[in-house]
Order: sequence, then C-alpha cells, then structure tokens
Amino acid sequence: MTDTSASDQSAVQPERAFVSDLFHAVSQPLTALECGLELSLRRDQSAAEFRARVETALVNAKLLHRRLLEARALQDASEPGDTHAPVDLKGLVRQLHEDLLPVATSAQIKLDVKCEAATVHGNEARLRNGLFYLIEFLLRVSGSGQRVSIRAQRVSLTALEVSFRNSSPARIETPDSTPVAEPADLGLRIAQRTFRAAGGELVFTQNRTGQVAGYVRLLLAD
Amino acid sequence: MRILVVEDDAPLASFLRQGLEAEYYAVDIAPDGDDARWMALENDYDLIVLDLNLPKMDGIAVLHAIRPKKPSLPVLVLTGRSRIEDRVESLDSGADDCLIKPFSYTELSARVRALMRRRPLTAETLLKIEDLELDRIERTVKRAGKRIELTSKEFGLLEYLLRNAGHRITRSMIVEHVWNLSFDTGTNIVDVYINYLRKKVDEGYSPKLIHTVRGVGYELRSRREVAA
Repeated sequence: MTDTSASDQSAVQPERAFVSDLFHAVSQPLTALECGLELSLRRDQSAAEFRARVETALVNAKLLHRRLLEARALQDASEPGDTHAPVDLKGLVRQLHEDLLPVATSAQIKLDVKCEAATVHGNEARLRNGLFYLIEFLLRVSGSGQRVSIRAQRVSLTALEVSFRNSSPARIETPDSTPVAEPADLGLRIAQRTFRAAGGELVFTQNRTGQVAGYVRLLLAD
Repeated sequence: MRILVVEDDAPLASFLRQGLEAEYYAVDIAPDGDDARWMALENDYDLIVLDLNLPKMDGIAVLHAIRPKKPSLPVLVLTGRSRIEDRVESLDSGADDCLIKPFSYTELSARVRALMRRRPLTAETLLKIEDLELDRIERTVKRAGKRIELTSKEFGLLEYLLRNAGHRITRSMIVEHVWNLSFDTGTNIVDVYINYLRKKVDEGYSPKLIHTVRGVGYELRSRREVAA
C-alpha cells in the first residue's frame, strides 16, 4: 500500500513541479495585465493616460506570452520523440560546428570541436536542438579571446560523453563550484531536459568568473 | 486578395477578421472542417489560415482534401501543438507555413504577407533580385556575374530571403525555417549570419539588398521596391 502510494506520488511529482513553475512564471505578468486593464477602464483619465495604460498592458501581455512559450518549450524538451533510428553523432556535431562557427568567430572565441564516430540513442532533431542550445550557451557566456572546447568520446561500452569547457588561452582550470541542478539559462534548461528525455544527462558547473565545464552523457546505439 | 480563415474559436476568428480586414483583405470565416473543405474547393482564395483542431473534420484532413485540387494555394496552419513532429506533419501534409499558438498578430500578419506573394517553389530553380542570382539546383550564388562562396547555412538563409523578397521576415520565421529550431531563446545567430551575408552579398555592390527592419527582422528588397 505504501509502495503504491509512493510510486503514485513520484509519478505526479514532475507534473506538480511543472504546474508550480508555470504558475510562478505567469502570475506576475498576468496580475500586471489584469490590473492595468482595470485601471484603463476608469473614466477619470485623459486619452494620453488611457493610451499609456494600454501600452503597458500590451507589454505585460507580451511578457505573459513569452513565459507561456518558455514553459511549453521546456515541457516539449522533456518528450523523447521518435527514437527508432540511431543518430550519427559525428555528422550532427560536425554540422553544428559549421553552423555555429560564424557566431564564435564574430565574438572572437575559438571553437574547438572533436567527436569520434559513434551512433547514439535519441531523436535526431531533438538532439540537434539540445546540442545547439548547449553550444550557443557556451559561446554566449564566453568572452572574447576565450576557447570553447568540446570533445565527444566513448567512456564505456554503453555510453559516450560530450565534455565541454570554456577557458582563457593562458590557463585551463576546473571550475571549483558544485554541479548546477537546474540552470537559470533557458537554452541550457531545454538542453538538459532534451538529453534526459533521450536517456542521458547533462552535468554542468559554472564558477563566479563565468568559467563553465561539464559533460553530456548519451547512450551508445552501436 | 481574399483569405479564408478556418477557426472554430469565435473570438479568435473575429479578431483575425478585424486585423486582416484592416489590412484590406477580404475575409471569410469557416467555423469547422466540413465548411472549410467546401468553401476552399468552391471559392477562389489567395490564402487559407487553417486551425488544426477543428470540429467535424480536423485541419490535417482538410489539407489532404484540398491539396490535390489546389496544389498552389498557400496555407498557413495555426496550431496549439508545438512539438517538432506536429510541425513536420503539418508541413508534410501540404501546409506552407505553421504558426504556433499563442501568437502575436504582428507575427501572423508578417507570415500572411510573406506567403501571399511567394513565388511557387517548385517552378523556380533560379531566384533573382537586381543582379543577385541564386541557383537552387547548382547551389551557386552570383552577384553582378561574380561567383560568391557561401556555407550551407548562408545559402539556406539567402534562399529564404530571396523566396520572400520584398517582404518583412521576422527573426522567429528565420530561426524556424532556416535553423529548424522550435523556440527562439534570444540567440544572436540570425544577426551574425545576416552580417556575414551582407559582407559577401552587399559589400562593394550597389544597391544594398539586405535591409534591417527595426523591431521586426529583415527584408531583401530591390531598388525599385524601395522607390515604390
């Protein structure tokens, strides 16, 4: 009886957390929107005041819209999608490297990517999105002159790790902080859920100087 | 220009009608899939805005019913389903573009304009504006007869801009169509690529073709269209 109850509890836990996060995300802009609209209906105001209130309401409506899109993107990332075909990781990483190289070059960041030939479990489009958001995040938090290194290699018979770090050209050190359970950055959170949905995981640390390191573990399919 | 809006949610349908009529389109409303199929096949529309979740017959079935008889009629699908697979299913069923709810009217309006005058993709291998040419089969680009080397993504971005030449393209549209990303986290990748493309396509040439539209995105525009 207790076991069943505990299992039921763990099954609804992610749903509760999602609803709680969603409520938190939308409550502020929704309140501001409602109050703004109520105030805009008051009669004792000029046309300019009325217009200003409507403009503020529009800003809050757009913020609410954005929060809902973010919540849905996170929920979507938690779904594995069609995973029947194994994914050629090397091809995927090579294409992403080419696509994101202009972003790195324009920010004067050295993007160094190496991936050994391997096929992994997952949905190709979703893994591409996850890796895109991860690499784009690494480029965004890295400064001019820094190097972003990404290495994908087998670590066991069943798993492959995509390790990543950013560092200044002068020294390479491991960030001294503990792993971040729920990153604040939306792109990184989407990436984390995407890899989790594919049976893998993303472990990530960031210290106060902005240095980032971590790895994505994926299940091998070959 | 006549548009059929297929939407069962009456307030949303009314809001779309008001917005599109304010832009001088003639608008008909179909509240369910059966009516939509009949109206689309019986009347001549320039574009259909089609909600997927409909009573009597869903939007995908409507698309399957009208596509064989009206292959070049532009269809913009509206959907509350945001998964990559749902978007792919819509496009595979014959939709020309897919807009995920909730959306802003500005985004819908930009997509309607882009679809309205888009040249049929299948018929054209050579896309051209002023002295800029893109050959979709040979995968080559020339400006003033001089060959320009582009990466695959730069080529894809330029092709998308050329297909929508003369129309404002939002960053979301570019992120979805060129990068196939379902959600724009605010990355600057589009701006970076546009800058690269400008250096290759516009620098040293006249007139400049790639224009920034403040607060919206970008537009590929010829000198004649600027004058107009």
